[in-house]
Amino acid sequence: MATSTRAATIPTLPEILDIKVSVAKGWPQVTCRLDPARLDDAAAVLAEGIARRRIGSNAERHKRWQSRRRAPSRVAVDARELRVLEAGLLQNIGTPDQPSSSQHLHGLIVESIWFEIASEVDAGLGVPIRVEGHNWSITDPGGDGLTVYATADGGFCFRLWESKHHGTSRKVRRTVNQACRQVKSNSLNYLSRFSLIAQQITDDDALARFYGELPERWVDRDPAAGVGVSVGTNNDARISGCFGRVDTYFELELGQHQAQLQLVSDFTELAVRVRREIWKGCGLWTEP
Amino acid sequence: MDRALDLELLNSAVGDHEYLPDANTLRRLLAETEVSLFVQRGDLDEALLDTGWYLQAVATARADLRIYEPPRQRQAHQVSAHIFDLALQSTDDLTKTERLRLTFAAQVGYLGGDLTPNGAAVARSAPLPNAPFEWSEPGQMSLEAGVLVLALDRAALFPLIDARRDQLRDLEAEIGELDSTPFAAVANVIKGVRALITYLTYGNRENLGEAQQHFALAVESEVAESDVDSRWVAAHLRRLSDEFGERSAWSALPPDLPSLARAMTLGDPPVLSLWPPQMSFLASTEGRPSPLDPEVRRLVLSFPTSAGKTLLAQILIAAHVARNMVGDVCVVAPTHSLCRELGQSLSRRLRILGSELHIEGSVESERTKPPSARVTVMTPERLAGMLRTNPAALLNEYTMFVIDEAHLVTAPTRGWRLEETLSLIHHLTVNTAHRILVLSAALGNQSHVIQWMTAEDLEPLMHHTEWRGPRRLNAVYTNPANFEKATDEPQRGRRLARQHVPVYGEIRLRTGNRTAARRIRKPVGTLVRRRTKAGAWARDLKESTTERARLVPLIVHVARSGAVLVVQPTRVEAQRLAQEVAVAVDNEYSEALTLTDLARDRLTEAHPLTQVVPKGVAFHHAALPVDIQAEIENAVRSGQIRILIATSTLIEGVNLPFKTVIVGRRGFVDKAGQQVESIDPAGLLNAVGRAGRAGRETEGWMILAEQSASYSANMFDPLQRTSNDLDIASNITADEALAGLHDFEILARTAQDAIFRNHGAAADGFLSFVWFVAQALEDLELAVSTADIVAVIQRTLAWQQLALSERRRLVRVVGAAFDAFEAQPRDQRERWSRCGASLPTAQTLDTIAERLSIRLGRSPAIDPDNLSAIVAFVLDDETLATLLQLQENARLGFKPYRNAPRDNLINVDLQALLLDWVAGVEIQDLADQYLTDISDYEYRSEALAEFSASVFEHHLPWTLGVVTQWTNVRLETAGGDRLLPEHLPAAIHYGVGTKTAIDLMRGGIRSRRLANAIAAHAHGRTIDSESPLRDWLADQTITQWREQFGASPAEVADLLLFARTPGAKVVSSVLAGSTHEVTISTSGGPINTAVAATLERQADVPDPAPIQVVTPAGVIGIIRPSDHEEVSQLLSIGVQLSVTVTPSATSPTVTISLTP
Repeated sequence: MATSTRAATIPTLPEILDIKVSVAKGWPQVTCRLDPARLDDAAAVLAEGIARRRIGSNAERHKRWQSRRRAPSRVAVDARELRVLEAGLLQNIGTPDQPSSSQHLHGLIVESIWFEIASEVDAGLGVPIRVEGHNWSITDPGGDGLTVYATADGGFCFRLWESKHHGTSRKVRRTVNQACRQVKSNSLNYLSRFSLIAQQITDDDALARFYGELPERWVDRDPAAGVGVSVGTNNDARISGCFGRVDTYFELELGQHQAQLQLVSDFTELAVRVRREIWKGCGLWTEP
Repeated sequence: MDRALDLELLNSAVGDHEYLPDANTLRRLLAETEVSLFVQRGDLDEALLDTGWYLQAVATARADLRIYEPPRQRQAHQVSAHIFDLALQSTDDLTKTERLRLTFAAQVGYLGGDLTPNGAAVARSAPLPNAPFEWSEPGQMSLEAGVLVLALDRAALFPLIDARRDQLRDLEAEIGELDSTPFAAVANVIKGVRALITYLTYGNRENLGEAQQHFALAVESEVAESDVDSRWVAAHLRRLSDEFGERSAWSALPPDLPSLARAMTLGDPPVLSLWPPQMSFLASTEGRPSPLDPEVRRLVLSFPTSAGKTLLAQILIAAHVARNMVGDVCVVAPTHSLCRELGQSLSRRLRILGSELHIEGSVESERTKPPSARVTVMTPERLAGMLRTNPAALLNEYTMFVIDEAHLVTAPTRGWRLEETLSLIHHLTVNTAHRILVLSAALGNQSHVIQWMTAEDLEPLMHHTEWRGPRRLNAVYTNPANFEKATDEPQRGRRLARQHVPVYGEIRLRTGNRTAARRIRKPVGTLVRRRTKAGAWARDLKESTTERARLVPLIVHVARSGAVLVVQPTRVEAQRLAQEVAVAVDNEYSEALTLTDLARDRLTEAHPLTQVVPKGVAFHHAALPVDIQAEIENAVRSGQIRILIATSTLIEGVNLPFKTVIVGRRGFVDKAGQQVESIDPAGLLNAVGRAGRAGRETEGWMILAEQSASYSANMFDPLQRTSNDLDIASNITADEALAGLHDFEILARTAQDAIFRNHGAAADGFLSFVWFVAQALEDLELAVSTADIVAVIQRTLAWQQLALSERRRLVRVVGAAFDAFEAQPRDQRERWSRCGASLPTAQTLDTIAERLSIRLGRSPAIDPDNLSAIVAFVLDDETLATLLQLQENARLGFKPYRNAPRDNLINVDLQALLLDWVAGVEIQDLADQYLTDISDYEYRSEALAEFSASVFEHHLPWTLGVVTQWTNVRLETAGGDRLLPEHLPAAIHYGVGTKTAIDLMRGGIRSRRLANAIAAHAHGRTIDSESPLRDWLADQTITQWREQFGASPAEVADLLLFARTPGAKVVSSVLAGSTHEVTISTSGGPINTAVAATLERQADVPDPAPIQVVTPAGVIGIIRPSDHEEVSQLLSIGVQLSVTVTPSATSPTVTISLTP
């Protein structure tokens, strides 16, 4: 629920990526490809997005971070500021001295791409009115985010998302299926905890009521409930039919599924560049 | 079946969803998980955990949105808590955070489901906080604080919260205002928790508002959005803080009695939140006044064990004291152990009100109640004695009577004594402000009890509940044989062919009409069958595994998940089973070291108890010396003993915590071939109540061992009973009593001395009561006639329960007994009616007193300090024999072996034995010296312990007390100045031979050995009354006590209570906000400057450990024993104290006050 302070000069991620939405199997699958030439642009957008969501609520701190990142040379940061950034912005990223594991970093990047795309791309349900939970602990199981859409009848519907990075030579389908199993086994844990907090921070009673009903709608496989899986990997990964079995896990109607495939020429390189941008904003830029 | 597996509950909670288990499946899954957990750790079905999270969402949905109805939300809370609790138990590989999350989730469910004590119980196994905290996981910090606050564990919470608050302050100093950082959520959780616990402790509603504000800030913090755990904890606490507000003692208790609420919240244990049945009882509703209203003069409370009955009684008692009502409170409990237990816990609460509690000794002549004591705890017999001695004085001294475990009126030998006493007090106070509170865990026929306590304009307030915190799971243990796996042994010579059949241990848990069963993997024994010459198979009992041995694997298994109590029908069975269990337990139990040393010292290396205790196993029965019984009880409470095998006397006597109770055989066949029930339905209900203690465990297992038959569903029947099924019946309604009264009635027509003949214990008790009522009415200058006495009899429970014809008989009996009363000389009938014995016994005692007064007048003077010589003179062989022959005495001497007939007694010099008992010789030594004709070593000490408990500790002191009093009256009347010492009966009761030792025993020391050891050390010093003795002991240290007297932990605890300064006000004045000064013993030189200090219990020594005064320079002294109890209580309460050492060259002090 971070507020947006996007700089006018920065393009959006959907503007950078090549995005296609297909409904070949009866439910929307979004495929986004990143042109290798735009790796730096994407890294900057993603870094800005992560910073916006993590420290955007403190306008001054966010502004300072942005100006350091955009500065042509390294800008030092005092120890106090760094300590705050370490505790918030640098979670699952780490510092040059103590970087977080690549697993955590890659997970963060997949989730960040998912957030930017899911927030702005209409995959059949319109643009979501809320994208929630994207900032929950990356190591928590059971869902990495929730998109909420307004429906034509004045109500709401939601999709519970799981995002995963695929970084092996095996078929991407394995990672997707693993994500499905994970959502299936931990969804109620996520929805229950989310539901409690969301009800308390929403002014809109209709939306609060909907949040209060999320677990109920999920266990009833209500038409308002749904699931989504996003996976980020390299362009050359074995992606064929990777979402083929998604609709067999949840006993939902076909239209209650969504998927997002993120293809990057070198996913690890993108992650490293995003991290470098974030570090730069934190005064931790190590290069000349 | 326990409510947790109730189909209706599960159905209402979970509803009907295609993708969640339905109620039937849920019940099956829960039951299977429970049983799997019982026999082995198993994985939790994923569907169960999903259901748990779903139900928590249902339960915590915002009430104002009305998504779910409140009853369903409460049920959803209960079921979700059960699931999370099972998840915690069944999953080993949870991370610390996951474990904390599930614990917190379970607590939320228990609190919301009105099962408050389980919130504390489930937290007991949560991973304890470590300090300092790692900042990388702020959510973990919030979870820890959340778990501790929902456990209402103030003692652990305040230090943790303050340590965390300091860390957060340091962080703030480093990085600036935390509210604009990712630590905003955790910082607000910590601040909110501190404000909430402060509200619950001190009752300032501003703190509650502050807490709610912090929780809201934490939930809504955008900058800390990623700290989900902190926000989740805050969201729950924000929701729960309203409920805490309502359930707090500060809200539930009358606002005009803040000291009462303080006594609850700052007492030990603290009562920060009341349980649902307590709330509903205390609330006044339209047409029903609050029980705290002094206008409510009769109360009947029927609460099962673990429902908080004792606390309610404490509230009513403390309210009486806090209101400063005229007259004191008399609390009655069935046994000395229970009196002590009840008294100790109540006294810690009363101290906060600046009031004292006195536990009345059992010997008639002594009264040491200090003037500051507003509450006295005593047994029914002691109350009866005081009422008989002077009814007017008793009713003047006490204006509130609290009768705990009132179902004792049903007990065959003691019931009538309680009933008659209560009935007379009730009668005499119908029109006065006196209040009577009747408490029981088993009052089935409540209408009789209500009628009993009803009088003209007096209607008792009745409250009954079946509520219970911990789940109770009922199971049956059987031993099915698997004939398919039998192996054959061919005939060899004269040895007939045999078949060896493996026998298994099978646990069945009942859920509705179905059971879930699991087997212990390996066979628990072998059934051996012999082929008879006729070709049939016959069971070979000699070679088959015994029932006892087949119980051993079950006991060893269940002990892994918590303390277990096994109830056995006889002492021998209990002892042997303990020995077999100890052999089966692999490792020694390091926690049991202290008790092992103690058993070795007191009972010798060869004693069976010494052999089993190192494995954490003990047995407990009435034939063990009383101080050893107390040590075992203490060891169970402190976790030194994990398996206790006991006879049913333990469950009747003391409240001990166990996770599992196993009831073995419930009876035995006596010599006449009759089946004797060793545990009656009330006893079984009592045993059931011991399984899973509120606040300690969330569930208790009750297992009935049915090892001699194949499983059948009706094996569960005894466990289905509730307190509603157990009626209480007056002793006088028994056939034997009515027959005795009939005999008397017939005989009285022709024989003038019919009243002085025995008509059975119950009938004699009734006749004695009639005389006493006549005497009491005379004492109180009220009209005395048959009709007046009948008016009292009409107040008895018996009257409510008898048919009209039997009531008429009672009236006729009263008439005949009153005629006999009037026919006796006034002084004689006064004496006899007061002594509490049957009238034939009173007559005999009078004869003894007369003879003794003559003998004393003729004999040379005896040194009044030589108690042994006086005992020898008073209880000469003839007198001793007469006293032992009285019908009230159950034991005449010693049988040569356990099953010998009652009249087959060995020759023992009973007087010499008595004198050695008074001289303080240990039980084991007495047994070895006097009972050499008993060849069974174990039975020898058992027989002596049994005899001393019955004859030395009860019968002789009581009868000798009467004789001493009557003899002294005669001697005084005759102008004699050589009276018998009043403490003579006490010397026999306690088995100590000096006044110093008697004073110690009267003052609460339970160990004869310790009392004698101290008396020996004190010998020659000018110690001639209790106070200098106390001062002398208080001048020493705990360490010195241990060294000089060889004092064990339980003995040190007794000594600390003894050495406490009577009327000390450390606790009350500090908690009321004052500063209190306490003298300390210093270890070094003089202290020259004032310095801040902390008070800490000395590490690495067994409890009770000395309390050290620690300054930055190190330990500078310790709290003196006279103040130890009070300071220890302050430390246990868990509030923060400011301590300053005041300089002094000679007697330095510390000043203690509450930290603002």
